[in-house]
Amino acid sequence: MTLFYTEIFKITVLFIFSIILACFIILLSYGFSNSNPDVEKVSAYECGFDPYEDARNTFDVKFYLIAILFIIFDLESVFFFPWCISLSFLNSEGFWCFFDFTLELLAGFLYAWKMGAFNWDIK
Amino acid sequence: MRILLTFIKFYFKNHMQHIILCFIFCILTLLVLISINPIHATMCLVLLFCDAACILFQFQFDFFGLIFIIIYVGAIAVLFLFIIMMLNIKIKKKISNSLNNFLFIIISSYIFALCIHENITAFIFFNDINFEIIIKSNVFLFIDTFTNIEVFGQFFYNYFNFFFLLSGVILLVALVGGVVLTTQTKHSNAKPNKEIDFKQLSRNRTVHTHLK
Repeated sequence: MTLFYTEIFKITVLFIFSIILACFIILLSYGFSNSNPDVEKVSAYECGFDPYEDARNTFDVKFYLIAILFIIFDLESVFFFPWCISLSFLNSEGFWCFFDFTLELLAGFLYAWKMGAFNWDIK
Repeated sequence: MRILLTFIKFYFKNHMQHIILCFIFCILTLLVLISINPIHATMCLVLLFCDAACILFQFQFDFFGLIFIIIYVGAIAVLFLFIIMMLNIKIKKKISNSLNNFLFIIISSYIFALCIHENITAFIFFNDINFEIIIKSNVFLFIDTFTNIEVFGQFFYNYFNFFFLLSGVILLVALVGGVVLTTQTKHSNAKPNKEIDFKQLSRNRTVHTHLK
């Protein structure tokens, strides 16, 4: 229909092909393998006991901090692309506001560094 | 009534892919709300974000669709998974007040449908009556168009740069808040729990002796 669809069409074909291929392989593995499921076989194995704990255990909040820092700098890099592309169409305010944005996040980055958010200190 | 039927027929004929995507969206939303296991709910949420990206692609917002996948699936869904892992919620066998929850779901989705109804009708009339005619008559739309990302950049940085700076401040506050909260817990515990750290970082027990 439009230029967008003609450009996207190839990706769509590949995407649909990959989905069909994945489903096909899963169906093949179901069809050709012997399966004899049992309650004891499927249940979690824990040295003869009934499992009394979840398979997942709680972990340190540091991993969460890393994820939050990742989101923040991910967003910053996302804001980079449109600014770079439309650089010649921007007025001076639009040009310089990105520097301010980057400086703010740079200050945050230095603060996180100084507080030791990136240190792991497990010896 | 007859006008409504023709209207629905018209809508179904011209927006089949949109309707299919929205139907998948509704089913996934219900799955997120209903599913008992929180990890299943999060996986449904990831699929929901992918479906939202597909809807954005269908409206030709390619940049925003990709951003949806990068930020929501790549980062925010990971945060949800982390929360589920950290809180250590046991799977409940039975939900209390399931009928009450279901009623709440129905009422809230009805309100949401009312809210988007206006947008959908506006979309229909714009897209099929005006826009098609313009596309057929105007060759320039095929040749001389800005891409999505260029239009976003020009509008956002020229006219909405105050909000851009505000978003920078909000991100800074989020960063500082996260750092302060996590490092304070470290200072209050004088002794770091090495056992838990070790449990997360290694699966092999021989590594422990090697480290000591």
